[in-house]
Amino acid sequence: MATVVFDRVTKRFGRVRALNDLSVTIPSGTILGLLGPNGAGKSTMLKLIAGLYRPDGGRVTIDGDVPSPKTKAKVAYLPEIDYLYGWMTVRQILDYVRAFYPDWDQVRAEELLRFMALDPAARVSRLSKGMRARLKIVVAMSRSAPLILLDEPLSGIDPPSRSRVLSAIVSEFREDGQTVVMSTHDVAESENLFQEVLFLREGQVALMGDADQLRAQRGKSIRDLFEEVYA
Amino acid sequence: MWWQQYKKELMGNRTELLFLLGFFLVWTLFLLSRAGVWEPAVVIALYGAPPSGILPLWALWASVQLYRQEWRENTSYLMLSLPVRARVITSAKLAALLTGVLGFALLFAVGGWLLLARTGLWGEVFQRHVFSLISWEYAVKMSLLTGGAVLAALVIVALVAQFAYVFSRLFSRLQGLVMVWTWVLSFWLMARVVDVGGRLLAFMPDFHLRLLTIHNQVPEFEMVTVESGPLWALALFVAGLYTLLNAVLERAVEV
Amino acid sequence: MQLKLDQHSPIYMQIIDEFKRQVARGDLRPGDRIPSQRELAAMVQVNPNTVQRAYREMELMGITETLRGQGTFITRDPERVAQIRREMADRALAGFVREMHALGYGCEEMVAMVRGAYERIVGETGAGPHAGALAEGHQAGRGGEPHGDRGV
Repeated sequence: MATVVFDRVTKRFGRVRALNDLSVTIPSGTILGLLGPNGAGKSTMLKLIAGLYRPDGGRVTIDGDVPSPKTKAKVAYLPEIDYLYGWMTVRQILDYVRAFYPDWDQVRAEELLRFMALDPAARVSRLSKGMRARLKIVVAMSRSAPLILLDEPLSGIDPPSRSRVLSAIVSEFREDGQTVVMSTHDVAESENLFQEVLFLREGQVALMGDADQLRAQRGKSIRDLFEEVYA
Repeated sequence: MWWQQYKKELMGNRTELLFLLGFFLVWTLFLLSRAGVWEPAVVIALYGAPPSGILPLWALWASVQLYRQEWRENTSYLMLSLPVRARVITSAKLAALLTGVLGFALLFAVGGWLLLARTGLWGEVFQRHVFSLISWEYAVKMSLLTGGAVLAALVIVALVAQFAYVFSRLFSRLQGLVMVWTWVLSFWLMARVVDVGGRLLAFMPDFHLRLLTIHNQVPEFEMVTVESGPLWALALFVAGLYTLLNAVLERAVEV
Repeated sequence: MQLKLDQHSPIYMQIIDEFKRQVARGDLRPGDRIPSQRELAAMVQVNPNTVQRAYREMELMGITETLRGQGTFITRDPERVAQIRREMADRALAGFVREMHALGYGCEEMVAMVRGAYERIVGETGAGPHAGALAEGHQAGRGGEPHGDRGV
């Protein structure tokens, strides 16, 4: 279980405040939907947790520790962009990543490879966008990481790939020991996945809560709520 | 973990290495074919000039590229999310660079020896004159010492270049300028440290070398004393710079 | 399982409703095994915790029973099944009556219209959603088919 705490975190890019004095605790053992339009600060939040950005103000902690090699061992981060070595084959990528993580499960990796219909000998640079998204999921979910961060895992990929990615997230998720934080600006497809949702607006929390509870309270789908929050 | 990282550094640059290797082989073979035809001095000069000019420049460029390409291709996301101390990454990249340089140096030595033999210079100059004066042992020792010194110098220069690049990544603008200034300042600081440190560490025992010198057209051996103080200071500076590189990469740099 | 989630109300409740619907219609028979929580979650791409909640509620409601090591099954209690069928019928009726009343129809009219609509939609031969190859039709969809692992 990994608990993430943002304590008055500010992150600036030039004049723009991507995150503005943000304080939030992400509960563990849940799938949290990190929602907001482009530019709301979702990617920034995830990168701060992964230790790829440093806060300008405040602190981000994972189980009480600031991001460090120690916390990175607990985190599986899947960025929106292509971040794998294009010259490597699928097999080489898995062999490379696996050397760094003791929680790597090779059996699961092979299963996921098959499920995703990925050719182990294919070069990453030759894969289509959908296939690269599938590979990213295999890399992230072949581990038993307590904290999984997915940055727009579905955006811009073909429907069959989207479906497989969603299935993999659901089937590999372990409620008793994992936290998944998934950011998206398109709620429609993924809202069924979220147990909790966090709406970010202009670098701060606009709304947060249990998805089903919000549905009962407001009588709306999360998607409709999204329209409302960002109207 | 380290081994995978090191392998990845080598594999990631193999096209470039293979290209350089190919070029070198073609050039050497060409010169070997001209060995009996052209003036030996010309052949040797044509052989020695490009590598001595190109290799250091290439090493400098490659040392920066090892980091620059991570950011350019966004693989910095992968690199910086690995659960390892920065020294694993920095040492693997330096080791890969060294491997390339050493490999090339060895090839250069072999190629050079072949050329010297083919042009007959090996027999004439070396076997007749040089080896009558000095033993094989001494020749080997001196070559290793010189080679080691050159390699050390290369590593230091590479390290400064890498530090300059990584440090410049802390700035969102004018990165090129920061890099150049860091480069200049680092060498200036190095000179200061060697100067001051050399005096402070003067108590350290000195090195003694037997060098072949020529007095009045007569070659003879003499003992030369090399002060170790400045060398120790240099070593400390390099260690400090390396530690700083690791700290910046681990704690400050962003994706 | 064709789970068309409307997402305007809690998902776990919609999952329960879908099971109730299938039990009421006879698509799921007493004693039928339903997918495990994980299987269902993966099938319909819903959060496993939500599915867990639905399964827990269904157990409490007596719609399902879990046998250790064997799985989750629809209740074997015929009374309970009949009750579920009545519940779903009541719900459909309530919706119908409210809507027709709002449209201004009286009780006698409603009854006559039901008869007419039934004739049109279900027909004399009992052809309907469960007819399949059964031409006799009076127990549409309830013919002697074996129990067991009915895929949802």
